[in-house]
Amino acid sequence: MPPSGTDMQTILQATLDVAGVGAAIVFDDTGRLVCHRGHAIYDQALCEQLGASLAKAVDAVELQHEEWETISARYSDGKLILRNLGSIGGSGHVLAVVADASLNLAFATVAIRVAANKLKKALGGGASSSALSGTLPADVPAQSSATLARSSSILGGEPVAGAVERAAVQDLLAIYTNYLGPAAKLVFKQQLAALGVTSRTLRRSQVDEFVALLAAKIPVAVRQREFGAAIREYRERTLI
Amino acid sequence: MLMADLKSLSKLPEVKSAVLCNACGSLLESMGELEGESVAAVIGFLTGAMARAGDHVGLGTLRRIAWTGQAQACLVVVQGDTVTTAFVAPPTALSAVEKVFDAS
Repeated sequence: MPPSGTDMQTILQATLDVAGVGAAIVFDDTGRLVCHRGHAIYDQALCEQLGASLAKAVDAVELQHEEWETISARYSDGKLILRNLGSIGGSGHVLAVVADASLNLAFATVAIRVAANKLKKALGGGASSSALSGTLPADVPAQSSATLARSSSILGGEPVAGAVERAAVQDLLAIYTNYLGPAAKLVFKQQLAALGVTSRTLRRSQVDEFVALLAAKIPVAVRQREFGAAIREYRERTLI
Repeated sequence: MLMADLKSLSKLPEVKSAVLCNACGSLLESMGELEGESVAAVIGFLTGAMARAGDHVGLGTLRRIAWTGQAQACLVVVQGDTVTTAFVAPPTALSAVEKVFDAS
């Protein structure tokens, strides 16, 4: 049985009861907010912005350490603590807790571990992340709904007619990694999003534009040209 | 913990490798078996994203990031425009390495 919004919010509320915690959110690997609970200032729009920034940070950590369990960040006025909830329904999920400087870290760590275990069970109970978006309050602004819909389309979606084959997209990424290094995966994903497509919906007619976007992100002109030549050679060989 | 101290940090047996870079992700110095430039670029991106996340919720200046896994941990310390990153194994040694930074 899928978790209800109340289930999720009850779990997050337990984290919020720890002194110093201001908000707790769950977001997926596209940065889409799945559920949130927090003091009045942490409204939905703010939590969506936070989730988007944290998803980028998680992408960076995963370039170095794919099997991370926790990430903590200390600031001059507080802390952010992230806990990996793992892949659920084909999409990674993360619990993030916002706390002020008064947080007792040892105490909070226990509460976050407990919440993470409960969230894993709740999320793994059969609900896809798109189903969970129904747990958000009904008064989500229209702009936020559009953002959510766009994020959802970036995540994946069904292959479309004229789309580049999956294997070819992976080859393009491998070539790009040779020229940009470990940040390639992240930039590749960002440029797909800039075109409003996913790795499954990129059309053959969009490949030229996509390659130009990728090349523009390579800092050295010579390497840009080498990347362009490598792509041309690949496309002549594979006819994409 | 600046460039001059990176060597002393890498002498800790729990620190398997270390990188010193600036906030833009440009490599200044590296120790151990890793691709320093690649790691520096990733750390530059990471600190930028975490700083923005902190800005959204009013947490102030980013000071430190740590992440842990089953086999290793990583500590990222931001001091002005300089970012020091230490990869630590086993992950339980992370707090000991943090104390070294605190003492410096």
